[in-house]
Amino acid sequence: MTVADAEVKRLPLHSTYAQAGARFIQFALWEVPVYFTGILDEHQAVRTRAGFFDISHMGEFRVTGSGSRAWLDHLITNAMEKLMPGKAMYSPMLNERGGIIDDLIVYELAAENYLVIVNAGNIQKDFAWMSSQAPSSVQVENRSAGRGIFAVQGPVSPAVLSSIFGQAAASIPPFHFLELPFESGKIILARTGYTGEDGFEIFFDQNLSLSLYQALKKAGEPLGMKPIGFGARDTLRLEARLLLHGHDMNESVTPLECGLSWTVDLTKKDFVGLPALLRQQSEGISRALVGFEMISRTPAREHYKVCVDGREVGEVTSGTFSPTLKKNIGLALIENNAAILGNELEIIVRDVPQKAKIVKTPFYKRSCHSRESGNPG
Amino acid sequence: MNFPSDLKYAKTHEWARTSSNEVTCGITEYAQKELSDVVYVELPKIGAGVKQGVPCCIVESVKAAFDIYAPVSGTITAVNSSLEAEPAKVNRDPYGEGWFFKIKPSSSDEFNRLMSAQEYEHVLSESAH
Repeated sequence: MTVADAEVKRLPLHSTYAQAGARFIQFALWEVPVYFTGILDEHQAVRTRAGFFDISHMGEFRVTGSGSRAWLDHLITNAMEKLMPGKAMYSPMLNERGGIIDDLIVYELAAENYLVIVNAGNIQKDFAWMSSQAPSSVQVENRSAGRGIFAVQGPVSPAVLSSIFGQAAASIPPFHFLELPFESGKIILARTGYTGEDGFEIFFDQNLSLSLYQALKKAGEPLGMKPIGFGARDTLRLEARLLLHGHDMNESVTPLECGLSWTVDLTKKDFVGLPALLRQQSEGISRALVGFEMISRTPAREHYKVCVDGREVGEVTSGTFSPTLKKNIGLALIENNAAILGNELEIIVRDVPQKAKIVKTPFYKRSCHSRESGNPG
Repeated sequence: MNFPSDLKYAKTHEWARTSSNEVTCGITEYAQKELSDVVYVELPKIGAGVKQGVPCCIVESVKAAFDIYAPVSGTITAVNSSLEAEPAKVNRDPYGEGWFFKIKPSSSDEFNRLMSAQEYEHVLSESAH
């Protein structure tokens, strides 16, 4: 065993998933299931029925103490005034240059008491940044190690959750949550997700992992729920144009460039990165994150160069085969003047330019409801 | 997993079958499972020269692109162009309809030195630890 192997973390239910036939990959220092039966099959299950995801690798912080709300409002781009107890909000957190340190979901548990969910790969960095920024009256606590997170996503997910937690579960509006009793403890059940479908995320103490998994399996399997790996998690989120930090955005990309303006309240008096965003807005935004669809048969992958008339204009940030559209799709960060709907692009695949065109996003939008969804990866 | 005993295997997870001085090649059941759903295959050109252990073909699953190595040196004589329209054949029938290409080998030595099914399974079990 090498040192690198020793540092790789496993989910508390790793062996349960291995027994269920999971194949594993490494993601942000975690060994996680990539698929159980197959990516296409699992993708389809979430779009038509339901899927179970273990996303316990993600980070969970607690922000408490007098002034927490005002301080978080200073730390993130979205407006904390939209929040009240029982409500959740998606927001980027910026550095002074306006670059995205991470994207988070903030859940207001009670006045001056917040749950903050961050990307697994950014836990240490986010915790260091937040701790260094917090005034003495505000406590930032990293509870990632002892906590678990599951997601149940797909059109039948309300039925799965209400069979365990009662009808109240199905009545939770999008981006709201309830604290509910489960066995000896309490769980937080939120109407959030990262797939473009209706769905839930559940936050709980890790000692409840196995019993909660068994309860969900028992309730979900008769309704067609399947366990889902990270392969389908990626194709699902990309079809819904939900961005993945470290790929579609990072510390040198601002929310105005990657289409996250809707999460930025430029009318707030102040927040970290605001002066940089205002400057960028007045000078002109030079890049844009666009969706594309391949015209050639070849899939495009992250970091492939993008050209227009032989001139390089940017690169692919995410690319995959879309199981729903049966086409190769992706996102690319390109010069703003090339970012015109319908424009043809050349994507350089193994030194050969392949044709693609800029298309409207999201690539997939579910038809029956119009709920918003958005969650860090 | 199924590794037919009448085939020879490369450590890079290709299989090879010889008949009338032609070597038919594809990827193993293990490789197919590792890749998961194959969505794209870029085949070599007929007449192209290939060298043992050198990539000659690309296969892409939903998640990534992978090289396929020539198990023996020689010249490409045929390719399974039906994979372009139906790449899922690679997952469904890796030793049959999911074959990739045929090579006219420059000598028989390389083929003979490829692994038997038993040796290949041994290599797989070693790498699992």
